[in-house]
Amino acid sequence: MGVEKGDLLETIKCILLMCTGLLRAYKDEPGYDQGTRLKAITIVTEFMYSVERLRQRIMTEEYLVGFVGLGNVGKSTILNALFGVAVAPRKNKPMTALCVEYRYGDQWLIEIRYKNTFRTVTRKCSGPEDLLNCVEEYATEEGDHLDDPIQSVKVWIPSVLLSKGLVIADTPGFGAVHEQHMDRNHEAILLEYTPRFKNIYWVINKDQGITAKEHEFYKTYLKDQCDNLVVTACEDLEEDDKERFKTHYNKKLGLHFMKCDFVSGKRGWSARVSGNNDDLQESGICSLHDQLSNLGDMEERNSILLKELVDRCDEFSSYFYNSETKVVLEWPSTVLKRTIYAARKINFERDGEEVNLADYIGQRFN
Amino acid sequence: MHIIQPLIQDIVTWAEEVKDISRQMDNNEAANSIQQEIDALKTGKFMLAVMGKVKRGKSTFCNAFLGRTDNIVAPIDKLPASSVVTKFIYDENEKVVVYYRDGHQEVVGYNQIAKFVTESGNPENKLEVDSVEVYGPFGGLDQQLVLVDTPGAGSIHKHHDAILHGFIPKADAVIFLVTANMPLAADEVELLKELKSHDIQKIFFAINKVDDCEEQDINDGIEHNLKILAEAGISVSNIHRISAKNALNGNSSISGVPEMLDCITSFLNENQIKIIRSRFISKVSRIVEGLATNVAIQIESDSKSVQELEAEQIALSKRKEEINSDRGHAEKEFTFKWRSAIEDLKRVLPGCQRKLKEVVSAHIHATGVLQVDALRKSLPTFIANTRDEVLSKPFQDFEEQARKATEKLRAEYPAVSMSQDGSLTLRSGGKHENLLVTGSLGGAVAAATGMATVAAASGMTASIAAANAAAIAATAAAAHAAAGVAAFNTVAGLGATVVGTVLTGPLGAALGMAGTGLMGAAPTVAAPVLATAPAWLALAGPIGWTLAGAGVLIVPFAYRSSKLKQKDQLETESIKFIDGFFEIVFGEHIKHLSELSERIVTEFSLQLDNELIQIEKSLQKSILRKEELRGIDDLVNLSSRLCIVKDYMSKTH
Repeated sequence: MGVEKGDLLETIKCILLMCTGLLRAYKDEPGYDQGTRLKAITIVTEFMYSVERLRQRIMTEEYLVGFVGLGNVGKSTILNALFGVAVAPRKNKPMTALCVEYRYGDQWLIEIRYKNTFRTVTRKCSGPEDLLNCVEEYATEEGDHLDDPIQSVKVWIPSVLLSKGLVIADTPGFGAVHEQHMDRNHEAILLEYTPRFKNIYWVINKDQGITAKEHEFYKTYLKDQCDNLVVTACEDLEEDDKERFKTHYNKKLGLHFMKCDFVSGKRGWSARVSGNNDDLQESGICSLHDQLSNLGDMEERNSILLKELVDRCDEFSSYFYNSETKVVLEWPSTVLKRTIYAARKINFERDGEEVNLADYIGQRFN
Repeated sequence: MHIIQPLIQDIVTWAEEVKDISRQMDNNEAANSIQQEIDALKTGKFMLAVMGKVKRGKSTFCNAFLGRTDNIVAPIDKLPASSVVTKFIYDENEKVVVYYRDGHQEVVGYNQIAKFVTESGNPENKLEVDSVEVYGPFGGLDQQLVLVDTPGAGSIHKHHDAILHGFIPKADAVIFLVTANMPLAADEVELLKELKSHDIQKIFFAINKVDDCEEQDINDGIEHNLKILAEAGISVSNIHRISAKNALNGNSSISGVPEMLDCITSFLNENQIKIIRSRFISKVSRIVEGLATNVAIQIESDSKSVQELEAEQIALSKRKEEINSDRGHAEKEFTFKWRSAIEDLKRVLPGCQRKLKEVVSAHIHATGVLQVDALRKSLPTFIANTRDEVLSKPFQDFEEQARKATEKLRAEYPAVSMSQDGSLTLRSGGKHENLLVTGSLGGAVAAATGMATVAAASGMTASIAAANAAAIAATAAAAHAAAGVAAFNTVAGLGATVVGTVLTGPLGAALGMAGTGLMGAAPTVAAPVLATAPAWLALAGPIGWTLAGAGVLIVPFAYRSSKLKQKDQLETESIKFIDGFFEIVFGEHIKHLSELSERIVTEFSLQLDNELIQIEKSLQKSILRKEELRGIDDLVNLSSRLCIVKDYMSKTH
């Protein structure tokens, strides 16, 4: 079920156009009180941003995903579980003072680029253990390179996850107590990197929830770019717990158009080690793996992004056609027609059935 | 209570003394909080609070501590749960008391606890619960020991933090929970530092959820935590490794919780009374510190103000004497100088008169027969110019002397300024600008001054014009206005005079203008005035305010001279005019200048009287204020009592 890239882009363009019309309507139409107006405009704007991000992702060639999170939430464990090999340094104390980029390669390679001398060192490793040692040496707080700091660390590994072209960046953790100069350093690194990320996966720990500190972190670094929340340590969460978790924080923090994945990094990793596929499935790592892996492929990516687009449209309309907000969408009809026309050839799967995007949009927004 | 009574009697007596002192200081707030502390102390309860960051298993631990295998008394959730402070108190009967913020309370059953203490049951604490007390025959507790569950720190629910921080001062000892998989974070260190700042000496440190982690991770975590704690200056003797979850699930033997409880119990058995006493002393000492600081500040500010008031009184009295002794002399000197200036002027004026007549006569004689017509037209201007030439020097000299005399008087004048509320400010010496000048030159006053100047000048002009039989209703009205202004603000009027002395040139022009306006309104001389108007302006220029208005005298002359045909007639008329002019200068101007000195002296004198009254008032006021501050002895007394109280405690403990 291929999705024509051009059609998808055109549809997204039309949806954005419709939103512009909506914004104008909410701005000028009388009959809304100030609170509703503000709320509606916020939602429409956030929706537009998130759809625009999808558009960017459709167009990009190299798909770079950043994994971010506060210190020791279990980010590296998830990455290792995703890669299937332990190459992300994992220790029970703050780590990774640098971004480490993981790319696909049939050999275990590590490339270090230095900041001041523009020197590049490439090293061939004998296997994952050797590579991990190298990464730990360079990319941890223990590796001290103050005289000539490292600009970037790139790693090539033969991991299925990356085989379709995906690039993953492991970022430094935040919030743990470290020596003062390091904390600053971490922020600088993240600020330097985030504009390059096509998507940000924000990892939080279920046991910790989202604390005031995490919220601050989200607002400062992630708000404009992050669409994916990965909640780890979820081994004991039931389905309704997950739903509760989502609504609790959504309501409290206003995390709109955020896709939530509940995983258990630890369980996924031990399943990898033991080769227990059922466990791997249950840990949630599998679906996250497939999702990420397909994003690396230019063709398959479009189907995933189309699905995300539909999800967002669902969420978007849910904010409007409910009693709480009391706002009914009135789409500018000419643009709506154009949108439907652009989407006529796009189909997606929903609940096992094939749905035409044009029909969907017609139903959803008419 | 009877067990603890003898052990605390000494510190209760001590605290009662502090309470007594704070009552005497009218500090009921402090007295009440001391009473509260005493009441709390007498109950003999020991508050052992469980604290930590959000989602660290505090409520799970409480359940385990209390020997429960369910989470009814301390509800647990996968989302942040506890939103209020819950106290677990030993009692044979199960009972829950909910205390609301507005003071009322409610007794509920165990099954309703979750409705009040959890975020899901009571979101944002909309029920306004202050705290919940859960009574029951709990295993880990005894009659004295109270276990307290608190909301987690650093949650996105801001009110949780507020509740937690509000409780910290009430805690006697703390069980601090962290988790194995999360190393100590910056905000946890903050919380620990706050505990330390509240003199909480005993912190039981436990690393929870060890069942979730591998041995290596726990060891790394503990190593990291100890390092961070040492950096923060918090000493921890032992980090307990526990799994509250295991204990709750009935696997207490591998949970590490019983060992920790043993440790806590044995510590408390040994130190409970000691900690209760030292916590009580610490809390009351804080109040003592506050009281002592207050007293010290008050004593300092009061004694300072007494000193200031005394200094002010001395300065005021001194000033009063100075004014009284100096004023007579200053006034005499001024009057003398002013008079001698007038005498000087009077002496030279006849000579001027003579010289003017000679020059005018010579000019007329030198004129050819055929030029009489032209002479007739130019004569008023010629006379005016010549008069200016002759008179400007002596009048300028006079103005200079008058200015100096006035300035001298001003310098003698006391530099006292009044503020809105009538209090006085003394300025050292008498060299500063005085009230007259500030009053007349300052800001918007300048405009008013200008008005008054013009009006005063108009007054003079009016009197001269009246003597000339050309007075009309308009002039009278102007004179009226002048009188009105003078009455309204005599100081400003005087000020105008002073300004006049300084700003002779432009002011003279203004005076001339005023004269022109006035005369223009007079019907009898309408035509010639218009024709020769520029001459008056020129005439008024070089001569100062002393001769203001004199220029207009030329008008009737110009009118008359324009009718004359013969040279000798013109000469006679000119001489007559000049004589008449000088008669007026002597009769009106000189007289006016003499009167002016009297007015200036009167004004100054009145002003001085006014200042003296104000000084007297201020003196009275400062004497009264000093009376009020007499209470300083009492303060010193209280302060020394506080010192004794402080010393007593620091010596005994």
